[in-house]
Amino acid sequence: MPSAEESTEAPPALELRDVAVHSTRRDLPRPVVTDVSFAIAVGEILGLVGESGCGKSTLCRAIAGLLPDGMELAEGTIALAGADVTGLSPRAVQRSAPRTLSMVFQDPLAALNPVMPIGDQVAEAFMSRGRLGRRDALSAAAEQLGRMGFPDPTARLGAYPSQLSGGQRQRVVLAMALATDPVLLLADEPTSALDVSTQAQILTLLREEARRRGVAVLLVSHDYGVIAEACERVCVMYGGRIVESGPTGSVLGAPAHPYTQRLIASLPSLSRRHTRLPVIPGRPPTLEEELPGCPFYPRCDIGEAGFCDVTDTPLVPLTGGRGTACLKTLAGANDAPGGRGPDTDELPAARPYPGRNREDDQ
Amino acid sequence: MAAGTLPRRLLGVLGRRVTQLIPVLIGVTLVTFLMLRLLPGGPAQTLVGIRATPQAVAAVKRELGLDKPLTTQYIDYLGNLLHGHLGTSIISGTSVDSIVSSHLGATLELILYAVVIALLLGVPLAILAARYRDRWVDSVVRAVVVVTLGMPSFWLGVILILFLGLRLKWFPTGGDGSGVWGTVSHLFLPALTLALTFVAVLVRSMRASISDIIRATYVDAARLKGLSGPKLWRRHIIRTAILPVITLIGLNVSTLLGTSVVVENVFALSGMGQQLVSAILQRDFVVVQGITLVFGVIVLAISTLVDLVQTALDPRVTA
Amino acid sequence: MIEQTATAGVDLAPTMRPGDRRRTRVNLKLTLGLLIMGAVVFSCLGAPLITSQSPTTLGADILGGPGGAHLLGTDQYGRDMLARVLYAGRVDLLIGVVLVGVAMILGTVAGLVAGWYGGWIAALIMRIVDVGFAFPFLVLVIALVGLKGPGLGSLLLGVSLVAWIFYARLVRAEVLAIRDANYIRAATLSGFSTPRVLGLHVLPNVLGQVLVYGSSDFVYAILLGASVSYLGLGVQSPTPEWGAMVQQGQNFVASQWWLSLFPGVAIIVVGLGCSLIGDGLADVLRTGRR
Repeated sequence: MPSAEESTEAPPALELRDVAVHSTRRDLPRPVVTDVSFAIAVGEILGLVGESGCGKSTLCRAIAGLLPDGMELAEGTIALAGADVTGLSPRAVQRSAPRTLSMVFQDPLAALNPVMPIGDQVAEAFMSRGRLGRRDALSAAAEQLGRMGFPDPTARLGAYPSQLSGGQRQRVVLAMALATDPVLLLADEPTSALDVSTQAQILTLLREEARRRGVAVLLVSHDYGVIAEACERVCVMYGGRIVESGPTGSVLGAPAHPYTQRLIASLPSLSRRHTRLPVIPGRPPTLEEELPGCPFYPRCDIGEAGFCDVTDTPLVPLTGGRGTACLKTLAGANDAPGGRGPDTDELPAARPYPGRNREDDQ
Repeated sequence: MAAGTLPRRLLGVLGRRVTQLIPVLIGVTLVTFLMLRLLPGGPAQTLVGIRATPQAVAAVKRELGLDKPLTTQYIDYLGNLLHGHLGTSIISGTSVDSIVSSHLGATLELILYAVVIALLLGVPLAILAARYRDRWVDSVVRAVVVVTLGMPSFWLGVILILFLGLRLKWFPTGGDGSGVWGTVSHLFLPALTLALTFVAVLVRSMRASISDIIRATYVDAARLKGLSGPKLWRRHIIRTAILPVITLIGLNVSTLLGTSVVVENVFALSGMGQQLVSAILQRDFVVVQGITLVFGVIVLAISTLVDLVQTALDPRVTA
Repeated sequence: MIEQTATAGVDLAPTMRPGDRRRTRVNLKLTLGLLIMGAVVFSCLGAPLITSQSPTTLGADILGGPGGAHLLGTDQYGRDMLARVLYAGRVDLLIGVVLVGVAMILGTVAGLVAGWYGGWIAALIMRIVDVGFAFPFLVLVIALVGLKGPGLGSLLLGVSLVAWIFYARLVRAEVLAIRDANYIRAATLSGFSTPRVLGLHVLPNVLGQVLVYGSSDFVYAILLGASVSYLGLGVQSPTPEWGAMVQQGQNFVASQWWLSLFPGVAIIVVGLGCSLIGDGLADVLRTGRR
């Protein structure tokens, strides 16, 4: 799978450049999302991982053109299959862009209209852009539901969401999302609200359907297991920024950012049973907190006062398709094991970047 | 997980409601029964007049069965009710059943008319306020709601008579009118008065529910399917918002009926409310008792009906 | 009275968040409402300071228009309307205070008992409440008033017999919601007597809701008293009362509109003040709970 940035032929399914989301209503000291740039190739599944409140869902909504009142896409551009859709409503995207995007939501019950039969809700998606009439759309809906593993779909087109199980509801949501023939699927915690046995089924279904149809997926989760299982590449988000990115195996196996390192160290694993899990001190930042410099600085034990807490921290590319937003890691990368040195050609020259010795780091 | 079919759910709700209703109905008849017995001097005294001889009072008591024990009297009362007998007016000698049957229609027409006007006025206002939440339209609507909530219905009626009836001469100011058009035009001002007392409650509640629905995830999902504008509103927003409105009408039937008593008296409409007040002023307590009971039964009947309608419309309601 | 505020529960959704700046600001609605009600109470109780006219003295100037010596005009007996509106306010405010006070006390006690003890006593109380809710409130009140004969006393008695059910239902629901909370359990386990637990631990936690309810109920109590009086069953002439005044002015509405207009405006002003206080209190309570 070629990384999206290198692909020169087909435009990536999604390309974000310097996206920032600001609150318009309350004068918050910091943006909700800032400095986010990444691309997803056609057919690729990219993971976006982070704690709740880090801006994952807001980023998804910004991409979908569904930001709630009081939030605005303040900076950056969003391109969907090469078409600029920055700030467009879903309707406008449908009208102007060649391909659309769909979304799978965390709570399938909330994502379905409680008083409309599921058949009508899926059929509605087939009727978008006037592709199908109502009758054809309904039979397409039954077929689509069947493909999603929904039992006895034709007979149950008239069922209401409240009459279904959680897993069945998510199958309906997935059927609905794929029925608009999207180029990109935003999957915002698609399995978090489901019980464990259903989670794996839905995740497998999502992967298989995406692969079969060549749909790119942005898989948002706070669950590293889900990400490790489904994604080739992953972006780690913290405090409204992408703090680390790269191939899933290397990011999870040898994290470069202190936040990712701590987080992975705090995950329980079978090999380390009966040992006390390390925890990250402090708590994730709230929107009311001002975060100059690195958002992780207040909780970081290698952070340096007067440097990490004042210097803006962009995501800087490393070798091997990776990137990190930790200035300390970058500074020490030359003598770091594994040769994960910064790709110095791409370092932003204008940023303050004082060199430091490793011995000073505590 | 799967709920039953619609008829099955309706039967379930009906069964549950009726079981709940029986003790309430007994309580309601007990209240109206005791009303007459608790009269100062008792019903017989009232019937024959304060200056009647004790012998005359005793004769009436015997005749009406008021000398029997209270429990026997109550059972007799229930028996009469089951046969549709609500008693006989002390003053005019006409049966309360016939008074009710000739005046109930006017009251129900007024209520229905008022609900229709309230919906026609309230739904668009609520949609506007929710759609432009926290903008000036919303502020105006909310200010109007706050002021209307404290408006006395009788005063509103008098003011509407003054402006729309007497000054502008758009509508007749009282009476019942004849024929369909006569009814519609004569009832307009009373129905508008009654409607305005309900519009504020309706708008406040609907504005809140629509604001929630607009932000619901399934509306976002519908937007991603390419729906927008009137189609999105019709298929996904109004459709869901109408259910709480039905609940609200059910909850407010009792208040609407109470207010209709005042409104009928403002506009001299010969409905149940006007009969009630004139019976009270004439101390015709058998009529008061009968009408009060009928009002109670109507409230219970309509709230049961609203429950059934809601079960039919809302797939989430299970028996 | 309260049933008019039934809004299917949707208005009660909490909208405040901890970081909201409204938290630290003086509540504008509450302040404005208190100012309005303060002005109303002051001008009604202190009516002699505002006008030297008597509300019941007949005058030569019959049905005089507003302005001049009679700011709000005069009625068909030449009585000064400003004085009548202000003195009527005393009666209406009294009706509001008595009705809400009695209903609040009776209903809170009934609700506490029903919520705390459960069992047959709760079943009995709540069945009575259900029966009360089965009748249109105004119908039941005027039927009861009618039994005793029209007048202020019958009005107060009739409403008191019925209005407590609204508070009983509210308080019972609140008590049920907190009955199993740990701090209540702790108080019970510490061996405190039931009245002490109810009075010192349960009551303070339900009182806020009761007061919010009561402040908007005050308007409905006044509206109710005025409606009953408008129908000729409440306060009797010559005592001035807003509802009765609207009724008396209705015959003259075509030419002497001020007779009916001003008493109604007075009710609306009181309604506005109470709504603002109720909303403001609800905001304060919501913030305090978080």
